[in-house]
Amino acid sequence: MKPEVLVVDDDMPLVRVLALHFETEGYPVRVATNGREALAQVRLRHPAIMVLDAMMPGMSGVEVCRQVREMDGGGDIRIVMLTANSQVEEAAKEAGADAFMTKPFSLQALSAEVRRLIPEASPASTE
Amino acid sequence: MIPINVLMLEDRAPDAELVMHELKVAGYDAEVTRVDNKADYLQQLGSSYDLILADYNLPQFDAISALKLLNERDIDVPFIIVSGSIGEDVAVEAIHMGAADYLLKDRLTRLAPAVTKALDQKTMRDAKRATEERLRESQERFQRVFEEGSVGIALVGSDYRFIEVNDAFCQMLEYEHDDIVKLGIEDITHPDDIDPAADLSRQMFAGQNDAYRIEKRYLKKTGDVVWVQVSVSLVKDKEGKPLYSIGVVQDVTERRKAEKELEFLALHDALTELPNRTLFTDRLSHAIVTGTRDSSSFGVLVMDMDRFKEVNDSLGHQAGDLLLQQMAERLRLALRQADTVARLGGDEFGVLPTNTTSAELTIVTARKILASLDLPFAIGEARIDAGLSIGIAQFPEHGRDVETLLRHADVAMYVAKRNKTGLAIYSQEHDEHSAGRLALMTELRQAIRNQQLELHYMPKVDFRTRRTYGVEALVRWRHPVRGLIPPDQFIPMAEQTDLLSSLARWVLETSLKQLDAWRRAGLELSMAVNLSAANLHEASLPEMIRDLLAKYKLDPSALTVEITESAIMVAQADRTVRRLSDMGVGVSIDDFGTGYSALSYLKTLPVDEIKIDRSFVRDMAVNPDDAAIVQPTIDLGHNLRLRVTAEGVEDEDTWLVLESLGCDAAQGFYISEALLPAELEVWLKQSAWGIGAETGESAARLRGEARVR
Repeated sequence: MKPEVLVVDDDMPLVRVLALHFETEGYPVRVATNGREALAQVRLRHPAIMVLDAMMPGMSGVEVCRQVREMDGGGDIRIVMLTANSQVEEAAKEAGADAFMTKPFSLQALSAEVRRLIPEASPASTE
Repeated sequence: MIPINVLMLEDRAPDAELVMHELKVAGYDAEVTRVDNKADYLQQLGSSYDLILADYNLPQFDAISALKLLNERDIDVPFIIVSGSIGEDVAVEAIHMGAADYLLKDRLTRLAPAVTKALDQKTMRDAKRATEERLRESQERFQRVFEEGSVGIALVGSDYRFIEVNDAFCQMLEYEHDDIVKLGIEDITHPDDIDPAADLSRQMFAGQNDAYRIEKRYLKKTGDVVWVQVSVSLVKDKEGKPLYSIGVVQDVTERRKAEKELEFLALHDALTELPNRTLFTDRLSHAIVTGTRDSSSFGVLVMDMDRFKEVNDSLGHQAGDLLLQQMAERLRLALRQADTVARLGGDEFGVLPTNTTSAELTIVTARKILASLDLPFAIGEARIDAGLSIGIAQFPEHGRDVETLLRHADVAMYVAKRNKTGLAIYSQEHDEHSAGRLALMTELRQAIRNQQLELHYMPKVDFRTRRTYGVEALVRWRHPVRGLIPPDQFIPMAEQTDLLSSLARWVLETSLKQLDAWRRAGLELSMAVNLSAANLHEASLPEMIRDLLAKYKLDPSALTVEITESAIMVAQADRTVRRLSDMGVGVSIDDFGTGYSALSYLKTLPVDEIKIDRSFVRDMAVNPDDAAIVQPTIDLGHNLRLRVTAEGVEDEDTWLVLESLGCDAAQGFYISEALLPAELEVWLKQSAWGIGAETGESAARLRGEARVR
């Protein structure tokens, strides 16, 4: 069983595309479209990796990241932050993100980043 | 022969010979070591023997002393005294000290059974010792788990009082160990959870079950609540009588919290924390059940804000969000706690008030809401007057089901908005909406007959050749009075009537006939036709398409059907799509990205193409959020071996970005608007995007690519 991925973004179309992409690569996937939902999913599922949008209305991804890091075992979760610019990247780094992808990004680049963070997660053939 | 290792304490060799002979006769292959003094005997005790045979009287030693030495060293070897003569009292003493047996040298026939018995007893002693050892280890293990384990463990008597608890249990409840063992289970259980747990315990001690598991709340010493999962099992004595129960207790507070949170989020709007449409309709259907049962009446209010779009456009989304939050708060304050206030979406709210047993009372509630808006809203520096238009429907006179009640409240809301009255209650005359629709449908039926419908064709261009390879057929209604009506103004209505199927037939027939005409004129194009959910529901659709393709002698691959994401989700759609694909017709997903369901259908259905919705494409050159969705969508499409087409390409910048992202095809005003057949023929000749020598190859390649899977 591959490690579970939690995709968090307030942009529903992007969430759907990312979810199918990771499913196609063989990961179990959970999604959340706002910060509170993301934190609840983390408490419930403790995913191996989070793909987290930095800027969301309400609770931002940066804040989600900070709170995940404060949870029991929250330090084990690898967090890839999706950012729009380098300013956010600075704040995300402070909050404890492991890696960044600047929007727009390619799925190949995102997958490569995920594999780098969880080396045992290299995708199996989907056929 | 049974091999045994014998230590013999005997000073006379002939006697030893006799004994050995007797053992051999009895079937023992005895390896005998003979000693006749204490020093040699002690030395031999260091090696392991199966049996010791000892003479009672030796010159400086005796069997009783030898037995004593054996006991002192805690060595368990069967010890049999073989003696010329032995007194009864000595024999009793020897047996008492642990000798297995004693016998006289002149009655050696008893030797074999005595040895066999002694060896058997030894085997049994060994087995018992091993069992005891295992038991001791297991007890030690349990003790360690109990004392050091991270789960709480509690032993509880049949009087429901604690017998013993471990440290983890005490820590979970923040009690001292000595305090907790003075308490009963009820003392630390949440009052609401005492009964269900006590019932299960009672059944268990009554012998109706051996174990149970329950989630319940404990109270810490501080009074705080801990959610725990308790697995309880019964410990019985040998007769099966219950002794006590062991509970293994896990703190699941965090998990419960997360589950509750997700449940809340699923049923509430994130921005205002009000119930969402799902919860609202659920409460409404409960109210309908109650109202029907009790023959009682209640009102439903649907409302939206009057100038919300203005606020959003002039002050920005954040100000709009703040206004919605403040509006939610006003509504909450204006109404009673038992009334349901929900955000139905956008700037639309719904209220299900209690105690509105007549339309008059519902109107009173609506007026209370309007009165709460008298004071302006403060958004940053700005003061905003935000009005609401409220539509009212009353159960049961305005509807007996959720859908009708909400639709009628909606109709009333539009009346209130149009008449600027703040509120309106539904009445049938208001519902001119449905009357107007009916008239339009009658006209549409005639329009199909009277050739008032036209097909316009939107060119699709291949990024690699920059040439047109196909067209999408778009239906328009040339209304004698209203002018040209675009499809989004009559197709949704047609979908609710039987007109849709004749409309689809007309579009397919007309477009394929046109395609045939173009092909015979040397224009190698492919044709895309839009189908809606209701079309896919018709079992006869694939046959109709096959017949039309045959009629115009067209290869099925020349035709692609475009279906929206939501249409593909409806029942039966997958079967129709598979049959069309099996026939060789292409399948394209239209308006891709605008749905809400999971995209997994892309993996299971024979889809050839996705068309990225124009709303993402239009602003991608300026809006990073739109760009952020387009690139992954193209990547995803290619990973799944789909052709990716962009809709709504309106300028060169967008074209160039899409080209750099590897998009396969495009359509949009940058290339051309939808054209009538004659216009298209001219355009194809004159435009740089026009048909070229590569077009046929391009169409075949794009088709072929999509067919790889």
